[in-house]
Amino acid sequence: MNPALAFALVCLAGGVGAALRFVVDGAVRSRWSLAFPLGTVLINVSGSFVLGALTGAALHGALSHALLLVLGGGLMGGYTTFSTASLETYRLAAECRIGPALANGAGTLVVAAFAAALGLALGAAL
Amino acid sequence: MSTEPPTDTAPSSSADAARPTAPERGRTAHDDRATAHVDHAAALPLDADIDVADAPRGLRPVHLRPRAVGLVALGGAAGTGVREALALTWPTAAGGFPVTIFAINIVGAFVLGVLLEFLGRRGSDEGRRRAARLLLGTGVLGGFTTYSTFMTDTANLAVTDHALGVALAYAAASLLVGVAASALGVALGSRIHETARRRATLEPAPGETTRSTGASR
Repeated sequence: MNPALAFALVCLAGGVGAALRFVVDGAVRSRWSLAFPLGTVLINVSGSFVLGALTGAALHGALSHALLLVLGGGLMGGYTTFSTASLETYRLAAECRIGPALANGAGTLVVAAFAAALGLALGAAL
Repeated sequence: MSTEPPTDTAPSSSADAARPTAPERGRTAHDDRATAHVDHAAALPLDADIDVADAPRGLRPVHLRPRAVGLVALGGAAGTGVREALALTWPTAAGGFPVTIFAINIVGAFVLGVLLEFLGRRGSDEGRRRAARLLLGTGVLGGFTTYSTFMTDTANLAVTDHALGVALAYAAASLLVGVAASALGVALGSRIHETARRRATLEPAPGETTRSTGASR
């Protein structure tokens, strides 16, 4: 694929991913009344799983490098977010809600890492 | 309880109630309204408002408003582009610490803290402040930073490259430095707001007697 076109597609996919995150987070917020950022957690865990699967498939030749760039770095990169996750963890900690802060920070990290590893294994098995 | 009139529970009527009331005009009418909406917003003063513009549509949640979703998408495309350009320019060797994505995520967490704290102290989440939050915060910084690449790199380091130590160091450093960066960002955002507010009101900072706030920063 033409590198300029590939890069444009990565940006476009990133925009779609960010919009998807916004809509999913809003939908979760409208159904979730507790002061815990469940939307971001679900987004980051699901996105880590999908990127793991895409990467696993690419490592075993089932997905081209260009497509991994667009769907992985673009779509899933735009969909998931580190900045919001960090800020939400800080806010919970600043309110002295240590349990939720640990669950949001360390808990998400452990679950998402396993989701990504599971995705890698599944993607490689395809 | 069961004697209530069934009018409000009919699915068709409740669905129609959520829609704009211009059924005769169809698609071109919608396009006209979109254009008029942009001109209208441009003509309004500072707090020309997403809410004002969307008022005829009723109280649709922000995440379902086309303009809000569009702002996030636009910012997300830009943020993703910058991240990918940086990641492609400075790739990480297999088994190595993913320095580029780490730096991107930390910088993003810091800047988001500055932005959201500053906007939050300026006033309620509406108008230009909300547009800035959606475009720059949810869009640009959300697209710039990435959790999925962070996690997939971590899993790859541990599983594929057998570099468990690097994986653990990467995960722990990202978590801790990320939260610290957010905290610093919030502190700076608050300080920027206070400085701007004092300048606007020509009020001296607490403890400052002889120096002017303008010269001190």
